[in-house]
Amino acid sequence: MAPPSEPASAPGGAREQVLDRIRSELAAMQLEVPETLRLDTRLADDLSLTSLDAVDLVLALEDAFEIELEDDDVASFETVADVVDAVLRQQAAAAGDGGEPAPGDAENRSPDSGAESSAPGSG
Amino acid sequence: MAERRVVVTGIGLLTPLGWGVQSHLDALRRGAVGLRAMDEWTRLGLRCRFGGAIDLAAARADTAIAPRRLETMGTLAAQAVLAGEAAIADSGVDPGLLRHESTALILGAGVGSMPAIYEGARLVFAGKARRVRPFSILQGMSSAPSAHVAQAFGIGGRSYTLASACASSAHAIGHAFELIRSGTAARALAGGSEELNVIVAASFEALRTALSSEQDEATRACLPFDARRSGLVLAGGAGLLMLEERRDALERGARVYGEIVGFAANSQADDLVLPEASGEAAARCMRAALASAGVGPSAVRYVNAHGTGTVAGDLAEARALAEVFGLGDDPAGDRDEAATGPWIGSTKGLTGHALGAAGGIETSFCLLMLRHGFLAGMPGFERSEDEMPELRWLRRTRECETDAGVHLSNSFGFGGTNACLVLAGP
Repeated sequence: MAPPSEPASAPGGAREQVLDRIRSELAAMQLEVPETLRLDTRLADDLSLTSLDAVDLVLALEDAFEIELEDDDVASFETVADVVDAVLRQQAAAAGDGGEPAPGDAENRSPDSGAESSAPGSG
Repeated sequence: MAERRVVVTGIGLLTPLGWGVQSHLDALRRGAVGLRAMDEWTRLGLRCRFGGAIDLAAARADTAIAPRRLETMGTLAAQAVLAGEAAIADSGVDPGLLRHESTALILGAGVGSMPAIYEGARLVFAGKARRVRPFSILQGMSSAPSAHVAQAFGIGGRSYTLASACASSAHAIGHAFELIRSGTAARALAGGSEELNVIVAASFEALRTALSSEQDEATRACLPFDARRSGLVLAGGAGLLMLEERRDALERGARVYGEIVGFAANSQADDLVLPEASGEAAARCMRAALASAGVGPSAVRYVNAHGTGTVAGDLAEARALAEVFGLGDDPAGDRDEAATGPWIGSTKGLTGHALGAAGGIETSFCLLMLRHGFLAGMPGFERSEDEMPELRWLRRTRECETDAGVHLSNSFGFGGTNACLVLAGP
């Protein structure tokens, strides 16, 4: 398994804070959270999150950090790192630095993670 | 080719009387009343005092479904899923068969989950539209019960939720019966769920005459056909049944509760809420159900009436029953109880009225009575008013032979919709 990739520009403390928050929100959602929640933990395969659970997690994180994530980002979440990156990016944007993507972002995204793959189905 | 017959091999029940088949058998035999004072409703200013709340925690304790999944379904669908899980296990049907397209899922519900809709609306009107949970629509949609049951158990055939107010799950069972009888499906999980909450209670209270005015005693809160009745008592719950083609069920050695032998449905365009006073359409529906079963009125041993405890509804149904069973010609003033005809009872004095789930619950009750040889009485019943035809009221629980006649289960809903099911013993 590849080592967890990390947004290089984000201070370690901020990243840990988001990771901790994800951990506690997943527990609050009555989902089983592994003891070591890693950046490369996969939301669907490792945590059994459905696309709707992921949106529920996003709502909780948006409330916690007083940010709003982009729908396109939410639809393409595959790993915990994707979520952490999106939060850090919006925090940075909110802090007024223009919200430029953190350098680590490109590595954290899977190439095929398009909006179609995890968008809710019809109905 | 002989007509396909439809038996019931599994029952899942969650009502104010308890959780599971055995607790309901005990409660029905005892004449237990499952209603209680709803303090939250009183605090919020409602006048109706009693409701039929269910113990969802008891049902959750038995399930293999993850807590997260139950939470995101919402109460309405979770009740259906828990009762469905019990019905499937009770039937012994191979879970692999559920994925086959020959397995249908036909449920009924009066309304979707109102708390889910309310919570979403509250956020929208507070300017927080972006805070609405993704589960809002999936709990609030009318088809929430069948959608979540289908997902939980991998149903492979047709699945949908029918809505006809208080007749919803009777229509669902009737439709499932017709699907199996016609060969369209081999088996079906059918029944219904209804969520009890203060929003529904306030909506019913807005009708002004629908709900019971009893303030003191739960045992007097809902008194079907009794002269003292003042209205219905709302309840929550779910009743799901596994219906199977009889030959399939017998070949696999299934335990059979009983058989669904007839079904009919019709409507009357008289009033959106009030029943047709004469009960004529209801009477036609009962006759059509008996004709569908190939039996006459004399074959009926017991009627599980719609009998919600409303003044107008019970009177109209009693008139319809008198018409069908030929008991309407008693001389005026003669208050002797009818000595002939089927026993007439309503179990809503025990459970309250679970609206769209009532048909599933009461069909299950009829089948339990048929299989175990008893008829559940109306412990609160004393006498009907003079205007009401005198019928053979089932005051106390009676033991009886398991093969004595068929049962008729009535369900009538707002909008003038009627559904009648005919049930026979195993």
